[in-house]
Amino acid sequence: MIPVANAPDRLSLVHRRFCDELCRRLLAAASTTSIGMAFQAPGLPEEWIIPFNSDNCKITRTVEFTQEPLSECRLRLCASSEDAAGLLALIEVVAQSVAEIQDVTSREDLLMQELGASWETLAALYESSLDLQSSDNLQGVIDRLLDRSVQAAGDSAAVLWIANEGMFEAMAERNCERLKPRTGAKGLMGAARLRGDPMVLDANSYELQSGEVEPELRGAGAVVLIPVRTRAGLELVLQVWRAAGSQPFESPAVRLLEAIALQAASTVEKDRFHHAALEGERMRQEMEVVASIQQRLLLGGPPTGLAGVDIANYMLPSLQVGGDFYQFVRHSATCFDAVVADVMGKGIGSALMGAATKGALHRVIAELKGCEGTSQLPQPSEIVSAANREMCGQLIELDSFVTLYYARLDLEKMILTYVDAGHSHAQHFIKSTGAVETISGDGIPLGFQADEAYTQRTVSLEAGDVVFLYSDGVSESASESGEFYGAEGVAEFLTRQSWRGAAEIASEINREVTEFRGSQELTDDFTCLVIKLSEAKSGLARRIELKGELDELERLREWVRSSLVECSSTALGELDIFNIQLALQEAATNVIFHGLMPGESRRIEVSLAFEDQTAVFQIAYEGEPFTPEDVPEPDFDGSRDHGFGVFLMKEIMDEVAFTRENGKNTIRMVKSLDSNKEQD
Amino acid sequence: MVTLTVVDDVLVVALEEKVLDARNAKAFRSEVESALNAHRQVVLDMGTLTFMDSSGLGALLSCLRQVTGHGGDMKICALTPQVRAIFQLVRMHRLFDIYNTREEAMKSFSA
Repeated sequence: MIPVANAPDRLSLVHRRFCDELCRRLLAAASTTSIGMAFQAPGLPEEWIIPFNSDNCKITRTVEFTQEPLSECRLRLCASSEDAAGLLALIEVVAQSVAEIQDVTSREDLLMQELGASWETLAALYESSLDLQSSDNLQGVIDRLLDRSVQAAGDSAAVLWIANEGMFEAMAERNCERLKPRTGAKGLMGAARLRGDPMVLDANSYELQSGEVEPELRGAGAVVLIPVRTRAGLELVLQVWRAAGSQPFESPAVRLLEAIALQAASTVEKDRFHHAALEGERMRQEMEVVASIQQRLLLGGPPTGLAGVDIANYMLPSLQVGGDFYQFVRHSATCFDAVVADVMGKGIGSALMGAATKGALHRVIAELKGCEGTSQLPQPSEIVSAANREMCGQLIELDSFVTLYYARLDLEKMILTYVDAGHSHAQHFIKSTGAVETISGDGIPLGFQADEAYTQRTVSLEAGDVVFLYSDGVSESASESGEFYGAEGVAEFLTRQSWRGAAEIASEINREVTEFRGSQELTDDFTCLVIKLSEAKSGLARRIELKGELDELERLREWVRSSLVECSSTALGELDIFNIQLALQEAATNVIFHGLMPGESRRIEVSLAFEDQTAVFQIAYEGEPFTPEDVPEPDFDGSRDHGFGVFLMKEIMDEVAFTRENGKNTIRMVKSLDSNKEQD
Repeated sequence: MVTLTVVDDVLVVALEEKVLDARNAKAFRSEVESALNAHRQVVLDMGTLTFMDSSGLGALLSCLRQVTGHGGDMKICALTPQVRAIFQLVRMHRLFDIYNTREEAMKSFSA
């Protein structure tokens, strides 16, 4: 996914294009010459007006967006038109265009997928990465990279600018005259350097219409400027443009040019370091380049909105970054896939292979889901087989392969379904026995046989179990005396540490392995995913401790609300939430007034767990025994103004029970979350 | 926590709290007690209320009894759907005269 830090820029780009395109369509359809639009969106300047403004707008229409990724945006459209029919036509065009263009812009979200999807581009990058590893002719490699740029960008011209002693020099050009060195402070190059992010313009962009445009770009139909600045101080700008009347640059092309620019930076740096004979430093620089690929393409956070499971991921790239990646795919509140994969090899090539594999998995899932007549989720075995079919030829060609562990967790049935494609790195801590079992299969890695039919296996899970997926960077960490941490080390770790929460388990294994390694440096990526299933009884999904005071009731209500909203797999209505809050409040109030004894330990523990479409609340406290039989039925004639608490609890909840054990009282209340059930 | 105003001989008790529950029901009760004794026509506006529990409900019942005890009449108005639902849960919607708006409640006295 796109890194969060870049999101506002991308948004603005998307919105900008959206507005431009919409204006074009409107002008064509309504044969009006004066159209004005204002666009408001989070992360954008207050109001952003496209240069199609007109002074004599007579109507105003507001279009509300509801779909991602342009949600929360408002578009105000003003157009002047005399006849009502023309007006209607205009509004129709807006409605249709919004839907259509949204479809296009939402594809921006799938950029990563697209880059991974285009095999040619990745293969090209892979080859040039090999090229730059073997060749010591810098100019030759740069020339070939620029050829690739022009190829990738279609009918276009390209220049690679490199900063040298305060000036930017054209290191190579394609399809344009030799350009003189420039300062890089002004014009579009200056703007792009200031942004620090790729700048994508088309003929309608106002930047292109301003006076500060470089001579060779004046009147261009589409322009991309990609600035790169490395930590070692190297700065370069890749400039690619198309002639007037051409199509704007599509995002996959921009992403590819970005990758090429990074490679060019890496190549130049390598060359410089080579001359300086600083091998260690060179490695660090390469890592930086690959790490940025990794950041952009390979990693992502765990899914949210899952009930009854605690997930953490941990990744530590090694000195020689490889192609480890992990991936989560959420299918529903109770079902998701987790994948850990390791691409053979290190460096840019394998990082790109990782991206390709990730893209292939994404695409294959989407394709299998889209198959006609199937409403069911594609099985992990089908997904892995299809991804292998797709990637195998190229993997063989590039003499590489991918080991992969594909796990699907069904939290409702409590089943883990997995395909082990030569990865063999998953362990299962079983809470009830305290044992750790290896869950591996016998599949071969991706990239050996295109027609391989992968098989899946299942393991049943229980509350409190931990599923631990990892890369060999974990198990093959070596100590100073040359011992490996090993799968045994991981298993032993899990028996000791599985009581912790997922995030703690992840950071703890990193700490222990680092300690084990001693002074040995990390030679392979260290990747692990921890999936911990919520515990059934004591741990529970959520818990809160209250002091036995009425001032705590507000905190209780907030906790009930947020727990229900965040954890429940069913969307609850306001009234349901309110009523459940009320039942909990009644129980707690009774405990505070009548249950707790005066003194120190006036505490109430409240917990919530989700079991079989029900929410189970338990309120536990030490205090006076409570016998519900002693509570009289309330009077409904208004003669008594108390005594409704227990009645309300029973009225709202499906089940209310009072128990007492070792001086500790527990009120257990169960509420069905089945949305089909009628509210009383 | 309440504003008391008298409009055309009707005492309007406008609640200013979001919550009426075990924590503040007693305070509410004592704040309105003397005013309720002095008026026969009372409108209780609960427009600000988003949460109420059985203690809050108890306080309202107690107010109602006080007003009807000296021959008066009390109407309540502007309940959120959630608060109204509690009245129904404990069948109290039959004891209270409930109006959607303060205007309607006021009008019912002049009719």
